[in-house]
Amino acid sequence: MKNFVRLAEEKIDRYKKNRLISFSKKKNRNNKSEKVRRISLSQFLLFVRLILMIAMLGVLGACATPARPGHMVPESALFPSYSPDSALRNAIAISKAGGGEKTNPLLVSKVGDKELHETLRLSLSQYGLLSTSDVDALFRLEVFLIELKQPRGEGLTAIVDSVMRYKLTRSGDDQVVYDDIITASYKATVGDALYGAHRLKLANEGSIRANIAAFLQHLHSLNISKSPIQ
Amino acid sequence: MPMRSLREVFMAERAMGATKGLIGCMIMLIILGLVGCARPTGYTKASSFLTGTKGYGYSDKRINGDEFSIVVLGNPSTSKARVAEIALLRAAHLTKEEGRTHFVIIKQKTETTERAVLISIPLWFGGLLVVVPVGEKTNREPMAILVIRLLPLQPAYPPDALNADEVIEHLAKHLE
Repeated sequence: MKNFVRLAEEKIDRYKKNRLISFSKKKNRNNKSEKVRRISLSQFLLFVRLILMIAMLGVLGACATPARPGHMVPESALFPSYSPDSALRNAIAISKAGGGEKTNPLLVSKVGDKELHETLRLSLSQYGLLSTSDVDALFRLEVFLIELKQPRGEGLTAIVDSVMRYKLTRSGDDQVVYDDIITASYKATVGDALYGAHRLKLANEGSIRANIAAFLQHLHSLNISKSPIQ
Repeated sequence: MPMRSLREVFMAERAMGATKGLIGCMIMLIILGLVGCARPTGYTKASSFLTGTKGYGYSDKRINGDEFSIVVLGNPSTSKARVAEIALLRAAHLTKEEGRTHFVIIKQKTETTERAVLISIPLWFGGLLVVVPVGEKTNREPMAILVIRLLPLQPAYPPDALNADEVIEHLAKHLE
């Protein structure tokens, strides 16, 4: 009987020991997994910090630059050339180009007055419309960038709308021969540029290019005479 | 055994808390989304964002001398007629601000513009609420453009001239 009791006690002890061992093993396993989880969380936070640092460096390193005049000139192949006897041939002087906004390097790309003026000069020159003299020009062109609607960074596609007013005045009698508001839009996708700031710049340039192209098309369809007598 | 059950209870409570948090955040996002889009744009100045881009509302520029341009951008819930009215009301206010009484409209235009917006869903990921973009949609927004000339103070005005006070009286009630 005594032996039986001892055997039973030994069995219970062994069982308890086993349970304790298995429990501690489980505990260790849990601790290990918690440790692994903790490490992975800290790694994740480190990863987030790294991404933020890279983004900050990206922002600081790649400052916003203004639109490039050369990229805002419409392609010459788009329009038929002006005939030599056209009233507008070598007859337009740019008297004013305004409404633009200077680009703040810390903010987004814009189109400034200087860039707009240079773009118009290049565009008119390309079609043989630019006058060699600003004083003796038969027509004066005033261009005003009313609005450049830019995205606020809510999407991947950058859609920019430009609203421009063109006013063409005949110098001889100060008669306005053309006065209109032209709106044009341009979409720049991730395929055009991966970097958002560059994508926006491309959209700005594309929108202005489309706007000037529309103006030149309107101008081509007009029948303008050199002087009021003609 | 009791230790294990306690752990289970703790884990379950934690999961419940996370689920509650997630549901709360989703409800908040939905409410914010609805509040932000439901109302059409009112008579308000377009505020500039930190990035330098403009929000919804009116903005104006002096072209030269007495000529001004006014642009009104409305949110997708705003009609073209409403943005045109806001532009007209702004023209009237601008006239008064410049010490004049009458103005003429030189050019006017209303357009529908597009804005690409990301479609994103909130996901509970590793104990954090992460907003994951799943696509892109295009919102259509109305835009009104107005070019005006302020008339100098004179005893009689041309028939196409608009009286700023009359315009304000007609439009301010339902726009401001």
